[in-house]
Amino acid sequence: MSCCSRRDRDRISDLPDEILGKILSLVPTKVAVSTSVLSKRWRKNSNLLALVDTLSFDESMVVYPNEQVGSVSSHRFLDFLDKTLRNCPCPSKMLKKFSLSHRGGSKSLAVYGWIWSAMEGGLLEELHLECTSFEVNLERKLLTSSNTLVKLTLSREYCLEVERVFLPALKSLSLLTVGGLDFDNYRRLIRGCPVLEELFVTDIRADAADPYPPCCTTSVESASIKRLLISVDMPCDSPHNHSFQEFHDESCVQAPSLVYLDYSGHVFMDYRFLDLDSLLHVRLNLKLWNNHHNRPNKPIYGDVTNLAVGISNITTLHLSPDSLEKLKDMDMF
Amino acid sequence: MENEKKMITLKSSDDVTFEVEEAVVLESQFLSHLVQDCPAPEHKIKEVTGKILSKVVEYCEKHVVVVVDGGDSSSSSGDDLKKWDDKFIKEMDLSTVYDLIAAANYLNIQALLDLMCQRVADVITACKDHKEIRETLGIVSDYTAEEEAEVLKENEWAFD
Repeated sequence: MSCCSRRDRDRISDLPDEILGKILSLVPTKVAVSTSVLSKRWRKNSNLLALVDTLSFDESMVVYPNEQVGSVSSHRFLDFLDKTLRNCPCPSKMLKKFSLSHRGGSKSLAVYGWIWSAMEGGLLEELHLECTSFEVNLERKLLTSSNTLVKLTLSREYCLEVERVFLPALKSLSLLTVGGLDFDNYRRLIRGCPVLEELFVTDIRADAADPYPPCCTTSVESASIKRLLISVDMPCDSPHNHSFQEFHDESCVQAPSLVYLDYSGHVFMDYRFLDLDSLLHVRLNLKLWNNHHNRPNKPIYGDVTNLAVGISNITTLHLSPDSLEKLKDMDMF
Repeated sequence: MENEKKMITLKSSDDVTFEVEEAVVLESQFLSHLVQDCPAPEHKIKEVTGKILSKVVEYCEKHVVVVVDGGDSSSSSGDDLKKWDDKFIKEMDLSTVYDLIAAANYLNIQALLDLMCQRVADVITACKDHKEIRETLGIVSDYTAEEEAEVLKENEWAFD
């Protein structure tokens, strides 16, 4: 290969530290740490880690030999996290972006302590947290304030109580099927983000055996948001179908600055879409409840009249086939 | 005369010259300052060879926002530019990538530097283990066997 010709022998190690730090910011942190074994130049790894602007830890990069071994966050993963973070200065003036995806469990809480310190004293702009299997209870001091955070993602098995949140720079918030965020805490969180422009909320595939109602997706109130993506997808074919339908009684959106709305979910009984005067573009994917097909005499569940009224000022509308059917049923055309 | 674009000549370390529009030069922080401070028609860039400077010029010409006559401003759309970038780096050997990193760093062209660092990062990420990284990047280990074993143990998880 041309890249290995004699002349090019190890030119990468001659690059200045800042450049190596930049390159290591662009690879998964696991790989970045593994470069310490390449040669002594790279061993100064702890120094190089101080220069990275991104740390990303993803436990799914490990394939566990069997489910039992992987049933809790592996000690080795946590050890690795712990050691790596101890090598990183905190708070750091370099670190801009931190992402963590792991299985969870209470043993991982120390990591979150590190993250809060990074947020409090540093210049962190993006934080993405995902916990896939075992609930992690985030302490209250999470999210209490950060003047630099612009983007935040919380995904799945987090339990959080929000007391006094103030995120004055936050522009983009994603709450992706967060299991332990109830309505009141959710509202407090949104209120603590005065300049929020983008909000993604999903409630997808809640466990059919342990059903919980859609929460964050049923009501959005924000004076500042411009883009909103809502996606609700509950397991409507499950034996709990009936109860899930009952959870779909009203969907509310009140957002005077909203320009773009992407809405996907089963039809709610009613909609309260208010103050959407700035809204221009809408993408709708309304799904009908399956039991309607089985019992054609039964009235269709849900009424989209108020949804249609709420979005009547828009200039572009994308409809999924089901949405079209639903709107036709309602004589909207 | 207003519509006539101001041209600037760049001369590489090995005296290859490139005549470019001023807007192209402005993609580089270093050159914008140079052109402002010293309005000569020709600038010698001692640190960059003709081969690399031609790549830099090619990149900057593609990325410059072209103001067409009549005041309409148009730039290549994001997707097209991304495709162009991909093609630009795809067939480049690592030696050229390192030279471009040095040049972009010196000339202070942030987007080009980012693109080149991404290329190296992609090469590293694509390797299945540290042995392959060494081989691909031509890094010679100066560890003794004991030292290497120690580093491996220290960061055990990273080598799973």
